[in-house]
Amino acid sequence: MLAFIRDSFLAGDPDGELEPDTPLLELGILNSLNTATLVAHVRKEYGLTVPLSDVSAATFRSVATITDMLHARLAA
Amino acid sequence: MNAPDTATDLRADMFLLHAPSVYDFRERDDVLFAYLSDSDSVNVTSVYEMYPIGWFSIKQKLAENGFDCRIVNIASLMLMHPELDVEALISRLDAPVIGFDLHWMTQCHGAIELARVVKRIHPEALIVFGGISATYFAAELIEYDAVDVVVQGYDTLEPVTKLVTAAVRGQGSLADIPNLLYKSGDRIENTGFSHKPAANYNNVRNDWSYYQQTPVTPLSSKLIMTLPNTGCAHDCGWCGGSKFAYRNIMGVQKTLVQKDNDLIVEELRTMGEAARKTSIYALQCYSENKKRMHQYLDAVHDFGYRSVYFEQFHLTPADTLKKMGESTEAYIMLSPESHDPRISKAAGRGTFTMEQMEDWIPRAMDAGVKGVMVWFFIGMPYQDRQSVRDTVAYCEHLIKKFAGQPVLPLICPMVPFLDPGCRFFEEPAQHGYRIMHRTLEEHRQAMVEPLWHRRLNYETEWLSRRDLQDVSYEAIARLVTVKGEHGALPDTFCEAVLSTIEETKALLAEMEHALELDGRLPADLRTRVRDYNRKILAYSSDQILPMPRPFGGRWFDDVTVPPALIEQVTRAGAAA
Repeated sequence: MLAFIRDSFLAGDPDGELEPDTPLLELGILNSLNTATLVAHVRKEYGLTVPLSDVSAATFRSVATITDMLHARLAA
Repeated sequence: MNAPDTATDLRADMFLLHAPSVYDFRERDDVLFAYLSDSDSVNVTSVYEMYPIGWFSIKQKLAENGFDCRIVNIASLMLMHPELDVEALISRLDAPVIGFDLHWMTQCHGAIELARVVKRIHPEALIVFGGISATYFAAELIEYDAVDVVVQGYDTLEPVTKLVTAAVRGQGSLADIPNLLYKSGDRIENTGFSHKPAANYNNVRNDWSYYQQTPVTPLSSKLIMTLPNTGCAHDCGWCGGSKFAYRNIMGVQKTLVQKDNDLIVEELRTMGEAARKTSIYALQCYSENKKRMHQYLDAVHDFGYRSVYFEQFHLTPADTLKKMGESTEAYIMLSPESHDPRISKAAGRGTFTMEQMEDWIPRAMDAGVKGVMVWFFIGMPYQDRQSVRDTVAYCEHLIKKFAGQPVLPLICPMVPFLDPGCRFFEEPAQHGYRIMHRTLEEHRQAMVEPLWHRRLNYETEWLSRRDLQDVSYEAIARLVTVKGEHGALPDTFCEAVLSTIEETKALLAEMEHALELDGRLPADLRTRVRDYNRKILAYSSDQILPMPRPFGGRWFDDVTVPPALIEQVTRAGAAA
C-alpha cells in the first residue's frame, strides 16, 4: 500500500516522507481522484470491493487506517 | 407525539430556497431519473441540487443593508435526508420574503411546485422568483398563483434590496422598484426592465467563510466557484448566456458585464487558511482579459489555493499558461464540442483545430499545467450519429497520443433543454433545429415525462430526440470502454458505468414499450423504476470521476438547517 501510494501519487516519494501514519487527507495526498484510483487498485490487487460506507475520513486518514479497514474486511 | 420545539425554528428577513428539479422526486415511479439524463458533466444528480452563485451576492448585499438572508437548499436536504418531511420543514421557516431561483430551466417544475407548498403553508409570505429563465419567462411565470413577484435581470441586488426593505420595514413601494412584475389585486404590474448595470456586476464580496470548516473527505474535495462576469464575450448558438441570448433576454447591447476584480480577490481571501485544501472552479474565465486573469492568478498563488480548473475558449497563450503553472495546480477545460471544425464553428466554437490543440497540449504541460480536459457535446448543428462516432474515435486518438499523461476527453449530451432565448431556440429552422416545447408550462410538464428523450425540448435535422438518447449512451459507453482499454480509467469504474448504462437502456426500453402499448406503466415496472431511482439518487458522480460520491461537503450542500431541526422534521424523527 505504501509503495502504491508512493509510486502513484508522490512521484516515487524520493525523500521518503510517507509513513504508515502520515495524514493523507490533511496533506492532500489523497483527493477524490486519487482515492478513486486507490479504491480501484484495492479491488484489482486484493479482490476487495470497498463499500462507499467505508470510504470515510476516518478509514482513509492514513495508510495504517486503510490497511486496518482492509484487514477487517478480509477477515469478515 | 410531542409538540415541535419551536426554539429551533429558523427566522430571517428572506429565505432563498433551492428546489429540486422535480417536486417531489422521491418515490416517483412514473419518471425515470435516468443515468446521463443530467449530462453527467457536473457533480450533481438529475435533481440539480446546485444553486446559482449569485445567491451569495444577494445574501451579502442584504446583510450590508441590515437584513438577514439565509439560503436553504431544499434539494440538497431531500437527497441527504430522504425521509425529510419538506412541508414540516417549510412550516418551521419564518420570513416575510421567500425567494426561488429559476435561473436554469431544470428547476422549472420543482421551483413552482415548492412555491405552491410554501404559499399554502405561509400565505402571508411574499414569494419572489429570479434568474435568467425567470427573466425570459417573466410574463408567464407571474401568472402562476404561487408567484407574487418576478425580479428580472442579471444583476438584481438593488431591486431585491429595495423589495426586502419594502416588505420588512414598510419603506418604499414595489411600484418604485425597477425590474419587477408583481401582482396588485387582480392586476399584474410591470415596473419596467431598466436596471441593467453596465459595470460592477454583483458589486459585493461573496463570503466563503462558512465553507472553511467543512471537512475534507476522501471523495469530497473542497471546491468553490468564482464568477467574475455575467453574459459572455462569445456567441454559442445553444447557450442562454451568449451574446445573442443576452441581447434577446436582457435587452442589452453590452453583453459582457464584469465584476470588480478586487472583489473577486477579496472573495478568495475569505477561505482563509482553508484555501490550501481547497480547489476552485473558475467559471467563465474565458471572458476575462489578460490583466484580470493575471491578477486573479496572483491572488490564487498568494492565498495558496490547492488547484484551479480554468474554463478556456481559446488555447491559453504562453504567458498565461506559465503563470497558471506557477500559481497553483492548474487544470484547463477546453470545449470544442466536436472534432469536426465545421460542427465546432457552427456550435459557436471553432477557435482552434484539433491539430493546433494537440500541438498546444505539450506546451501547456511544460508550463506546469497539471491536466487538460476536452469536452465534446452531442446535439450540435450538422452532427449526425456517424459524426458522434467519429468524435469518440478522435477521443481514442487523443488518449493514445497522450497515453500516461493527464489528458482526458469527455462527451455529453445537451440535456434536458436547449436554453430558451438562445439563437437556436429563437431561430431554429435556420440552424437545423426543431423546438418541441416553447412555453414555461410545456417545459414544466416535460420535466415529468417518464422517458428522458421525450423531455428534450429540441431535436435536430440530424438527430431526433430518440437518436439523441441512443447516440449519447452509445458514445459514452464507447468512450468509457476506450478509457478502460488504455488505462485512462480504472477498469472497475468502466465496468460500473457500462453496467449502469445497460441497466438504464433496458429499463427505458421496457418503459417505452409499455407506454406505446397501454399508455401507462404496469405496477411491477413502476416498482423497478422506483427502485432504480432510489439507487441512482443515492449518490452523485460525474464523468471526470465516475465513482459514487456521498452527498455533503460540496459548497452548495445545505448548511443552514441545523441537525436538531432536521431530526425533528424527518419522518422518523416525527414518529419518535
